[in-house]
Amino acid sequence: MNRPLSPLTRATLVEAPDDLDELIEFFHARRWSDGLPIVPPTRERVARMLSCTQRKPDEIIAKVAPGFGEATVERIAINAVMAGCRPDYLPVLIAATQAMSAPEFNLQGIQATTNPVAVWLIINGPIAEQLSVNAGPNCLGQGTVANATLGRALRLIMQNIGGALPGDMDRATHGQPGKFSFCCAENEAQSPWPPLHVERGFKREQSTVTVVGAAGTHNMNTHADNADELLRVIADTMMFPASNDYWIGGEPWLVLGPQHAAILHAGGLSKAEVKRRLWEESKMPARRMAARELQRTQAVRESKIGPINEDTMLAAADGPEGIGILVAGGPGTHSVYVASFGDARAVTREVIA
Amino acid sequence: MQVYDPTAPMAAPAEDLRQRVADLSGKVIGFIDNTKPNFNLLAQDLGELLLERYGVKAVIQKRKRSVATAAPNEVLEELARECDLVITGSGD
Amino acid sequence: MEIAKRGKAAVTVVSNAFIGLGRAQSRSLGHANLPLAVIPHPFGSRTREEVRALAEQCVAEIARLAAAK
Repeated sequence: MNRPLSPLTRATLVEAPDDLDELIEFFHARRWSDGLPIVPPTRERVARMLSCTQRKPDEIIAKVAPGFGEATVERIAINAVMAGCRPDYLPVLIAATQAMSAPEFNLQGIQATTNPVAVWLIINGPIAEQLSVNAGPNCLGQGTVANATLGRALRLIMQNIGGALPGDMDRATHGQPGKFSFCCAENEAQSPWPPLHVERGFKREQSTVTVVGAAGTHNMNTHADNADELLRVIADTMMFPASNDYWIGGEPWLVLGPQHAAILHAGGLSKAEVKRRLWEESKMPARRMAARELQRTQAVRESKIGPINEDTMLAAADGPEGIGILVAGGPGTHSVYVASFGDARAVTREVIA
Repeated sequence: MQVYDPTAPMAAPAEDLRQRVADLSGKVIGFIDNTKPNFNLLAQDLGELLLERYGVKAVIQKRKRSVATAAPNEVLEELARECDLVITGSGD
Repeated sequence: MEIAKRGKAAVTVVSNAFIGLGRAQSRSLGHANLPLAVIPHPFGSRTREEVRALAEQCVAEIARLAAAK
């Protein structure tokens, strides 16, 4: 379709109250925030943010579903300022906006669904240390500027540029706390295996951001002290009958704590072998599903995996490589299961200033 | 103070692409099943009613891979080629 | 939407919980008034008989929308 070029590629300045309390209310009233106070996106702050990229302010990085607003570098910077990001975070958000707009990520589905899915940002490579993105203790919790504000900025981009406001185009039944921010780095130093970005075809010295459609986090606390037993209890936790991964053939993720990763590595397992074992051992009998889910599973997966009946052992992903593994967190006997939206595939993009 | 508006305009002006079918009699109707529960049954019933009461010539049923993905291009092309009217489902 | 772009008539069946999304999205994609046939939400948990009854209501709406100026 031929459309005239939008004359509104540059962001517009608006007159807002000088008083900070009133200014914050001004943003809430327009539904420009996520419910938390924002940092005012003044000309000076946005200019400082833009000085951290070589890209032009009016370059369009993506059109963000479901409203397909143009995510220019400038608009990304404005939302980053509001979220409290430091200026040098901008290139990460540009890469994340590119990543979530790749067709296989299915941002349209993620934004508009009733599912609670949040976009989980995983940072790899040298930039994680440069920006002090937490990969260690409490990496999915509060207390680190980068983790808190990068995820928040991406949500503001999805809401303000993508137009998905809760209750309107964002149809989430409950949503989840991860929709405020969901961001961590991989604990590459304590991982016994090559990091995620290397597994996905990048060099170790490149910096990347990976986006994942995450339905939630489910903790797994186990003192299992050998690889076989640890895999067994993790695989058993992965199966649940009301899971999108099982009916669609999804992309479940595991955040292995460094202690658990060390046990698996000591058992002689590569990351690929861990995935293969988990994929096999987490197969669930189709009869555990509700009859209607079984019907949907047949409709969606039979073309890929053949006839499905109540006795079929369903895997959570179409193949072992469909299981994502990240090593992150601090000391402790915990790992985290991140069930996925199911209908999205993780996308990795390089962070380039 | 002056601050930037963080939103992006909903870009394009509305244009009316809409095609109309004044009389369904003798027409071919396509369905794209969004795989949501019950939509297949609704499509089946609607198909029967259209055949019985509206004199449509034929009904073609197609399924999406899953709810939140778009229908593949070849399915869309085929339906647009074969059908006079296409009925789709959206949401629950 | 994709069918309309290909020059054929289309009607979307949507439950009333999703009508806002359907309208907002067709607007933002530049199609102001793609026809939506609305059925009551929730739809997925209806019995077989209820689905049949909804089809009865819906078929007339589809015929009307297909022809409407």
